[in-house]
Amino acid sequence: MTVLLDVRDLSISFPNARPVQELSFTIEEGETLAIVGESGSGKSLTALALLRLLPRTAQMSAGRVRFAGRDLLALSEREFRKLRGRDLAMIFQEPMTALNPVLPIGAQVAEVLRLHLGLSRKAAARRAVEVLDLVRIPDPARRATAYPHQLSGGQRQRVMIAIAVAAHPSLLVADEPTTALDVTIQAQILDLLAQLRRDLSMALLLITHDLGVVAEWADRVIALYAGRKVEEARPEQLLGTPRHPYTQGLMAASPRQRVGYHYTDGPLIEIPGHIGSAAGEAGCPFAPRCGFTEPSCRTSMPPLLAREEGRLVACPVTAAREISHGHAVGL
Amino acid sequence: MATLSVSDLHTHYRQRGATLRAVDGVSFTVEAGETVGLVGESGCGKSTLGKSLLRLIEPTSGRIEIDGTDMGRLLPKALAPIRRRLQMVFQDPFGSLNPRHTVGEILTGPLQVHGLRDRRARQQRAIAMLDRVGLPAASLTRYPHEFSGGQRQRLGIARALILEPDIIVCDEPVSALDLSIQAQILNLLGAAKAELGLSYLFISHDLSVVRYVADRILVMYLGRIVETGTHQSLWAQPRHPYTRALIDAVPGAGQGTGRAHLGGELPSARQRPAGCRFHARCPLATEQCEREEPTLRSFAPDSAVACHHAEL
Ligand SMILES: Nc1ncnc2c1ncn2[C@@H]1O[C@H](COP(=O)(O)OP(=O)(O)OP(=O)(O)O)[C@@H](O)[C@H]1O
Ligand SMILES: Nc1ncnc2c1ncn2[C@@H]1O[C@H](COP(=O)(O)OP(=O)(O)OP(=O)(O)O)[C@@H](O)[C@H]1O
Ligand code: SF4
Ligand SMILES: [Mg+2]
Ligand SMILES: [Mg+2]
Repeated sequence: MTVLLDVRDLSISFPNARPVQELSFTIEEGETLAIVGESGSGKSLTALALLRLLPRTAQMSAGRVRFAGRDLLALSEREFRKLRGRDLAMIFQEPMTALNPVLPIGAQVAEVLRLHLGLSRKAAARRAVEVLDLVRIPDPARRATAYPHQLSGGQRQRVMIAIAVAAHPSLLVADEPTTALDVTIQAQILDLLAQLRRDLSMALLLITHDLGVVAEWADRVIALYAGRKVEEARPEQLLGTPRHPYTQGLMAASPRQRVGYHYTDGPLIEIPGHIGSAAGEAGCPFAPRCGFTEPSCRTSMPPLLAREEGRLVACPVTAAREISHGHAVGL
Repeated sequence: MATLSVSDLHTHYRQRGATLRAVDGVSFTVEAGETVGLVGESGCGKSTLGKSLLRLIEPTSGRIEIDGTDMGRLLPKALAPIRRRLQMVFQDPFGSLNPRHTVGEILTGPLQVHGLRDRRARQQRAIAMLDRVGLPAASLTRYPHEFSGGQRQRLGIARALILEPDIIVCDEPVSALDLSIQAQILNLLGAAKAELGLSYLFISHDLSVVRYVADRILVMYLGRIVETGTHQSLWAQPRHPYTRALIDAVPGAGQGTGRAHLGGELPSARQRPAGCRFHARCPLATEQCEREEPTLRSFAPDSAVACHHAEL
């Protein structure tokens, strides 16, 4: 397999915060890499950084960002624009902010087709309706004339997916592509993405908090906490036997862990505390909320250690002993 | 504490001369202290229903009552105090937070409008609220775009809770959140309910979440309620073929394979099928289903189903 995307030591900072720190990962051609992690852990910023779409106040540094053999850090703004939307496309977390509010959705899809595939105006309009049908927009020919605000939340999300895949990118960065969708449509959309992966060997960077989606669709998964990678593994490893105290807490919090559990039976298991409690401290970012800390956890960031084949964990404590999940947060 | 009662509510959209019946005759109640879950496919009208209750979209017809007061008849001025009692957490957090206001202004603004004069007290309430949704006090001076998607969703929840309303329409309040924050927020909503006697209309496409939070469940299909049931009965024994298909599609629930079983044509509220609106996709459909629209039949307290062939 050839490496399609290679990111080394990516850091992102704002004047008063460093939400992503020394993050490294690779994606192979046709591979699906999932990123999971606490809200605010830097998932979206990482995605935006790859597409050079960070807010102006953000500073980015990286040892290397290579994509399809090219050094992305060295590209001019013009060269990057050609790449973006064609070889490298993105589905944004909030569709309303990414769609043009004053342009009908069919025209927005057609625009990508004309720009990147060179279709004529007429052919693009026709193809746009097919693409809308592909993402299961009901009554697509008519709906092509609707504006984003006239669609439901899930329909908007699907329009954005249509725009992102229209030009057949080799890497699709999808930030929570199915959060607004019910399971039946979610399965259809993920099937569609899987088909694109097969047919076009499209690789996918899939940001999601839905562990069911990770289990079924990802080849590999990395867990972020406060801007750092704390675990990397195959989905069955991470979901079945999470090793980092954070990922263990995450699994335990799932309402799916206990089917039929009702609020009248008691509260859900939480990881106590907030991500903010780690801000600006040295050492492991999870230490303030962790039930296992050793003195060394507070002084330096634990390195990522290879556990078993295919797995990396940034926790010296769990690396040293076996813990069943649920216990990590002292519950 | 209050009771919300909705009868025969219709909300239609007009686009290019065509009418889209997004909410097409819906009746239900939410009792004080109760959580009613609303589930159904993308585009079936859940958000439209929620916004119609707050009259953020004008309903086409129907009655909405809070403790017997008909909301539809109130003039905008008389609506204000009722608005405080009825709040909404929006599905699209970014679109619903004013980008030019700081978080402090977003949270304290409603307090001021509703008569809390003391600036310090407003500030304090805002900080306490931020803490409850897991955001630092320093957020007060920041703008919505400086937050992550999940953080913005929590700002929306904080804004809805800060006025201590009686009823909150929660539109996908946790679908943007990772599981540990999801658990914190669901626990927070649960605690607020216990403390303040709040009720929720809880819209979500995530059945495992609805199963945890809801006392009663409404299942919506193309603008109508096709089944309602209690927490005890609905999950164990869904009667409507659509409800069954929904539950079946959940990974790890029952015999669920986690994959879509719902084939068939895509429904469109614009060209509503004759007869039962589910018939084109229904495994039980007969000729009767193509002709006659089934009505909601009640078969137990708090339980009803709209299907010709449901076993009661
Ligand atoms: N423009 C900005 N200015 C300052 N801070 C920002 C800005 N954008 C994001 N942040 C902060 O950076 C952190 C990471 O944000 P990011 O959007 O990447 O999180 P995320 O992992 O995608 O979370 P979520 O799951 O909630 O979407 C957050 O704490 C957020 O508050
Ligand atoms: N302003 C509008 N003008 C015209 N049609 C609209 C408008 N808003 C929504 N619709 C349509 O009404 C129907 C119901 O939309 P609604 O947003 O209520 O769905 P929903 O059940 O909340 O879906 P989702 O789960 O995707 O959020 C959809 O077919 C949608 O396209
Ligand atoms: S009425 Fe007929 S078509 Fe409709 S759900 Fe029941 S069996 Fe299916
Ligand atoms: Mg995000
Ligand atoms: Mg909606």
